[in-house]
Amino acid sequence: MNTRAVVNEFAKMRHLRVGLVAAFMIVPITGLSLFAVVTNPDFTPNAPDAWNALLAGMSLGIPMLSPLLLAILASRQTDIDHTSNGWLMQSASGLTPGGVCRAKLVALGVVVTTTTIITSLLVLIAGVFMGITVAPPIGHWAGFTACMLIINLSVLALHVLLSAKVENQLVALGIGALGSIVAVFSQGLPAAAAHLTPWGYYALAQAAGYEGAQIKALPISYPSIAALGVLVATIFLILTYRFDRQEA
Amino acid sequence: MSSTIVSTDNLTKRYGQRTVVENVNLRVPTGSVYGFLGPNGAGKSTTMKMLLSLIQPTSGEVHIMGRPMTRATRRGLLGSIGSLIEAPPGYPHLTGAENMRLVQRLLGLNSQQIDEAVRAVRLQDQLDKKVRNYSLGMKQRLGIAMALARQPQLLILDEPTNGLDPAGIEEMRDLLRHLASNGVTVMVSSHLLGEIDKTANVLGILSEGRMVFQGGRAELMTASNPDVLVACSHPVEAVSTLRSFGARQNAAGEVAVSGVDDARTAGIVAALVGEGIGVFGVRREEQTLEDVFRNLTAGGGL
Amino acid sequence: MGTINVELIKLKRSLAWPVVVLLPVVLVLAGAATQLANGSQPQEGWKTVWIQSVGFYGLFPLALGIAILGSLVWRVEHRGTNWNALMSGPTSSRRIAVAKASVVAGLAAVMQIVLLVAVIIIGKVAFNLPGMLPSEYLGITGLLIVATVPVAAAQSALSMFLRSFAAPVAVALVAAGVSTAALMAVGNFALISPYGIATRTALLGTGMFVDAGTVTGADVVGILGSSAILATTIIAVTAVILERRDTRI
Repeated sequence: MNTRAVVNEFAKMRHLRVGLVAAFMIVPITGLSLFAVVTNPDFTPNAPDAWNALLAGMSLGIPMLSPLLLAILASRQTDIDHTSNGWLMQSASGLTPGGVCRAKLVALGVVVTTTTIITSLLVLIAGVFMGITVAPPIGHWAGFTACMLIINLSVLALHVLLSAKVENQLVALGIGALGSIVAVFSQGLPAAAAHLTPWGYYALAQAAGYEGAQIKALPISYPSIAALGVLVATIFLILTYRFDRQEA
Repeated sequence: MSSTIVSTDNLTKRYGQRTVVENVNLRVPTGSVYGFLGPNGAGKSTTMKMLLSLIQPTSGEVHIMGRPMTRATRRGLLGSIGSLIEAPPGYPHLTGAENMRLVQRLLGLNSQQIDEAVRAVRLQDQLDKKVRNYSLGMKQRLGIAMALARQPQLLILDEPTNGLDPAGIEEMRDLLRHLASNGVTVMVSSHLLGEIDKTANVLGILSEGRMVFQGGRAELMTASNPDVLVACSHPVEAVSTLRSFGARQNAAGEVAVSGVDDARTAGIVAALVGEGIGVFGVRREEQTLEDVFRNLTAGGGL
Repeated sequence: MGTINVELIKLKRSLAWPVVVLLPVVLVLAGAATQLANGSQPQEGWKTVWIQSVGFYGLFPLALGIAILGSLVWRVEHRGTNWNALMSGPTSSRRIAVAKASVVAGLAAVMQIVLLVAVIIIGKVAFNLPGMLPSEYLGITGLLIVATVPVAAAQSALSMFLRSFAAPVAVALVAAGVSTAALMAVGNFALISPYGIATRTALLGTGMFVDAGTVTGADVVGILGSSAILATTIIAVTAVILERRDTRI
């Protein structure tokens, strides 16, 4: 039943231009990430920390655009069930609202995982094309991508819940927009404050940034990100099981 | 299979202080067409949702096909129950065919079942249009096709003729009769009393959350006790003779007496004959379902 | 005027007001966050407070906020059969287009005022800055109110044509990004884009990105002129398209 529900969510994505939103998640973010590097006259491909510039670009680009785009993805996929009595139809076929939400997260999660990984790879490849001679810091890069993925999926899960619970999708989009702002500004906050909102964790996953006038690689707080993933997963499961028990 | 496919015991639903459904004992005989009637707000939709376990009752039980209907058992039972409640479902941005495929996948049906359902509602030529371009009647038919696709033993329909033109309504009536003759039990709620009159053989009437009548059509007519109409030679005198019965003259010049059973009717005739009034016709007034309904539900309106 | 009153009634109990207030407030707080956390003072007093509040705001949150307002204003018309009711009424398409765009622009104007007030409050209350926000920033706020009218008209048009809420917001995000990039690339030529005008005006006097740091007369004239031309053109085109289009269900 669950795989069928997930396949159904993919079928519902037809005509929703999910591909377009996914493209927006890849191209502008990649563009933003490369932008700072490409326009920086000081950029030297031969410098030992050349890759850090790209990492810094991604560390800013992903948090700036992802929260809103994730909100849009979740909103469009969930709104169709609000407008077409879909919750009732699926309940009467044995698929509870909570189950539908779980299926949506899996289906959209596949899309988001793909876009996040592709973005990361594209920036990596771009770096090679720009002539960076040093070997890329694969471990740090992979860790960074994994953390960004976990945060993206967490934000996505929360938005699926929000869009399912609140029928007016502009609430979800407004919160998505606020999320973009919070995500960017959390980089300037102390780490403790960044833990307060899910978008703050983007700052905790920053792979490189300015220290003074230099770009340096930064340590990623893996435990914090892992904790976020576990926490959001738990919340998601609890709330979707509560949706299951909700009255029609 | 037991003779009742749906039975509820003291089914009650309360929202805070408001009791929407109270102590309803539904008995839907297998293979019947059950007409579920009631004014707006009587609790029909709520009751139907409880039958499908979409809403949990405050107290009381639902049994479908002999088994209790609860959150735990509903998965197994819902595969044999087709339903159409409230607005017809259907994702507007997908075509009719794509919507049917969603149902097919959810329930593990084969394409033959889908084809038959679509053909039964005559939607086979509209399947490639997006549902947002469907007329209301087509959306309704799509909803019924979705309910039929699983070849259910029980069909629960809330206002299935909503949005259909007279031809469509007649097709629906034929479809429901055809299903009933093939052993499918159909539970239909409707405001079109004339339609229900033609289609249903068992009726349940809900008023303000309570069941005020459940049984066959004939039973309903007798239970509602229509007036006795006497055609006689001297209506005015007859009325004064029968004053103690509350007799009056109606528009056709007949003498109408309310609330009398057969024994009393004989007594009335005897009394009139005794007074030398010629009696040449005694009959019970033809009540339509609408009259009965209105009396039973005390005129609950639009 | 009657048409605009009707539109304002439709806004009752809507989420427009939270958006109008929250977006600028969050941005001002976010901009000041680091300093509040450190307990430090803004380096150049009012100027820093202004820059850190408005600098990022102008890049894309401003466009996003207006996009959300546009979607909100048109949302009711896309529900049920309200579109039919709207188009089969006696009001002309031109008046509808003007009224809706005006409401969005009005809400956007309130948003800029909230921004101004929030900057003043945070300057006085959080940082105890002496005196008052220099009057040039009041002028810039006024200019910003004018500069957001074309964006309001554009978003109103988008929300009219597109039934989905999210799509106009996505377009605003992309358009703001592209316009900002264009501003950096070709300077004031990017003023042909409504989003470019809004961003450029928000950045006036900040010295960030494309801004030189001082407000020149040429800038102001360019902004005012472009705003007027773009706003009228967009609304006129919107009205024509609304008039000619068949309603679709």
